[in-house]
Amino acid sequence: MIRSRRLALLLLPAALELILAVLPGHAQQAASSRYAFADTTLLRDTLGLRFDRLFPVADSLSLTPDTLRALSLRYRWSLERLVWLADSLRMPVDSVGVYLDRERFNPLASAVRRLTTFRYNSGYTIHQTSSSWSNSGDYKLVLGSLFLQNTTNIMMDRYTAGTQTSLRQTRSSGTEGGWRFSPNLSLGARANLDRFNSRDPGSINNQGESKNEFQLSIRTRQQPRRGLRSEVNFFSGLLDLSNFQQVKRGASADLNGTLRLQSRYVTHDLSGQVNGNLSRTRTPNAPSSARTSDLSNNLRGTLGLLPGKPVGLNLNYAIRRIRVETPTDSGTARQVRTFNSNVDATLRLRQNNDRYVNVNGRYGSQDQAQGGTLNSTSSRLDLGFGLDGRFLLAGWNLESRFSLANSRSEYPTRAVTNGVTGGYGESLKVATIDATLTRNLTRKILLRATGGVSLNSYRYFVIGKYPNPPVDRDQYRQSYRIEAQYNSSTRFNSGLVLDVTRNVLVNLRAGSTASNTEATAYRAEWRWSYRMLPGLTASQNNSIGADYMHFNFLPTSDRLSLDYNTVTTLNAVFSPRFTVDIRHNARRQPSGTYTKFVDGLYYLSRSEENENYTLSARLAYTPNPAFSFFMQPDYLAGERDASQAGALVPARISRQLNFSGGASLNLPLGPKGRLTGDILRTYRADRAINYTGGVVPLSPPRTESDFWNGSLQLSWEL
Amino acid sequence: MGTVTSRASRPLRAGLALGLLAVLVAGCDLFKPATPEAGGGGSTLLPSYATPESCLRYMQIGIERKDNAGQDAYLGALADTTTDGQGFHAFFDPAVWNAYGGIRPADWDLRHEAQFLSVFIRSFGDPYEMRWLEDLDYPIANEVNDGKSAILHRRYKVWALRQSTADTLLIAVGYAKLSFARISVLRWALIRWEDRVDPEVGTQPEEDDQRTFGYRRLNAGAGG
Repeated sequence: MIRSRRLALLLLPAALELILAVLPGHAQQAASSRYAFADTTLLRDTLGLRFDRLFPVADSLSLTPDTLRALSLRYRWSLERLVWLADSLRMPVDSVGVYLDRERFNPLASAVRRLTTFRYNSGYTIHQTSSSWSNSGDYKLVLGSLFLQNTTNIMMDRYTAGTQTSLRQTRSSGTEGGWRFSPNLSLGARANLDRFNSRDPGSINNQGESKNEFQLSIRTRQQPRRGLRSEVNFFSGLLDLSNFQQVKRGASADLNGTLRLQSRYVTHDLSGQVNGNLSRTRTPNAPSSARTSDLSNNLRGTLGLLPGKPVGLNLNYAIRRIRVETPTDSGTARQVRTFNSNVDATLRLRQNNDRYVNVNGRYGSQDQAQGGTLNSTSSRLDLGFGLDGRFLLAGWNLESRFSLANSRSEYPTRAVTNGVTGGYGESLKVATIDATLTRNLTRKILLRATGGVSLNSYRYFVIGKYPNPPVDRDQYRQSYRIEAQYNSSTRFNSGLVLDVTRNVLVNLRAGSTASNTEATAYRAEWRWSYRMLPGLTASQNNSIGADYMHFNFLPTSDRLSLDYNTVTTLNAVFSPRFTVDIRHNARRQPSGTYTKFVDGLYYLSRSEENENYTLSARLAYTPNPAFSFFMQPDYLAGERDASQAGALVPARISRQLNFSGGASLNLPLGPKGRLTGDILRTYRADRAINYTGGVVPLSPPRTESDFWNGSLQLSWEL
Repeated sequence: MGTVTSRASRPLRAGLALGLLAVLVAGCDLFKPATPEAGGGGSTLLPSYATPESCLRYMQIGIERKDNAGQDAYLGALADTTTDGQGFHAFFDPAVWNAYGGIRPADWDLRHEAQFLSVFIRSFGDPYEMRWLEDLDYPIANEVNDGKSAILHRRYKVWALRQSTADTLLIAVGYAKLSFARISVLRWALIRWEDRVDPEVGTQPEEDDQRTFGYRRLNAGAGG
């Protein structure tokens, strides 16, 4: 008997496999189980960009997929081009766009003898509460050794608040002209003009700022040997700054440079900048001015040892020191000083992309002082240690992270108590550990288990005299999640998820423990997706959840909230140009106190119940790659019942209709121009019936809103 | 090739051993919260963040109470990356941002907000009163809440209450576009506060105390 039971247990998975295999089609196999649960709902629009292999590429670059996708969209480069540029420039993917934008205006970067370019961009963005119109142009002329370039930006923003509109305008122009003596040296002059204006209808003092800088420019670059390149630039001239706070006139200078060392065993990128000014400064109404000097030093670098080797080291460091002097009404200068420094090092132990361990350490400090007034000084010290790794063994893929971080912040000038200035400090210790285990159980079943624990410990201490420092507390969190996905075929897949999270808040002092809580959330989810016909796919996501909120010292206030949610989606692709998505969502949420009754059992006493239903659709038609039209109607119905005299009675019934429709454009305007963006009209109608005492309906009139929103960008190149 | 793999796996093993050691260390009460002092005392404030409106209500209560429980109630309404999976970020009116002469913070997050709140509630010794008022251009009845996210437009005012009504000071006034995300069944959290100057007051108000939250944030000494 016992043997036959054991045999039955062994046969059970095989039987399940046979039953499940009856479903039609063939499984869609992911390249690796690591990406099996990744959301592959990717952006499809008229920009002509695709994000194939986004997850593996992002993983190999140690970037999040949404960051990589955002970079691709921002610079309108495909993933392949982005990675190729990063490889060829030997820099991180997220630096490529910034670097190329900067180099476009470096006269030494261009080797051409004759060039005239003009690029104009205009964008208009409208939202419900604000609109923004931007215009920018950049012009570049190269005639032999002579160069001239200009960049101008104008931004006009309108903000509606209440019934009035505020205006903000920002204008900036940078012009540089000069002579390129050699590929490594240029001399010239530049003018940087900045304006800012703001106008509020009710304001008696509207704000404006005008800043002019006229400077001589020297740009140099050096390459003393192969693998070592550097740039040193120097700008110096006159400064004229005027705003409602200060009038500052004097001389300014900016010395900056970069150094790149690349060899087989070492890479080192170093950049530094020193800028400042010597000025006479006064408040706008002051008769006399004070002598002030501002100074900013900035140094940052990245050192890589043994790149591409099984053992390597990455070191990032940065030091920033800023001193700014602003005038006071008494004619003296007030100093604002900031000092930041941080360094982080990572030791990489790597066998391949599936087996590696990283050990990292961090140090950071920050000091800030603004004059000698209250709240004027603060400091912070951070120390951290972490480990992360991935290990693939016998088909099991384990990823884990562990970190410890300590930080100490001090705010010594928070209050004056009995003539003594005092404040408080905070000591924060954060410990986290999490792990994810993934495996293809069979060719069609994938399993992933994730667990994590973290503890944040906040401790406070008084500096000098301070009456009421924050209370010591601990925040503890633990969670686990188990997911299984069954890929029967390209036509059918299904998944199960169990998610449990526990959050504990512990106030340590007796005088504040009344609000200590323990919140435990359980959630189970079943989802499936079935392609019924070519071009017609149905999906459903069913979830149930329970949130228990326990008050350690006030158990009579314990609450329980339940959540039943079903989302059904139908995606139809009638043709490559016409798609329709229909979505229905039903949600019911009873909640109330959760208390122990005399029989010793816990019961939910419902005090509120919400039922919400949503039916929405999206129709998209793309007649050609330049145009896409879409329409999105939504209908929402909601009912809320609340407790009255121990029974649930209707409290509110609401109905809502939203409709938005518009067009996305990616329209070429001749060989050099392009119009992109989207514009849509949004309409909304809403009506709600509120019940007084559960019986008397109060029915306000229907409210409606109707507005345009979206953004359009025009770019044109000579 | 085999030799290379063997060499590569040696330091990896060392790393794995270090990782194992870290896990063992992790067992040494590193993740055990401290035991609170006996009692269960203190003022009782049981905030509820079950709706975006209740988040605003407990932010208001938090400012008016001015005590630690109140601060916890205010900050509890803001999204915390460590527990909610997304964080709180505040954005400033461009005119307030431009006018600020100190070192500008790269991102105003929950840590900055906690420091600001601690300063703000102590800025005046008087009791505070706060009101979230309707933005007449964007009526409350028209607010969008799709069950996952919500955007609320509000005008806010905070007063420091003096002995007589005539002495009562308006210490914060402005408009805010507040974006909320639903974190769980019982929890909504504020993820984005877009601050605007009240056009009737202006960036440089006639009464110097009538500032936006954005101005008070920047000038609370919590930036950098």
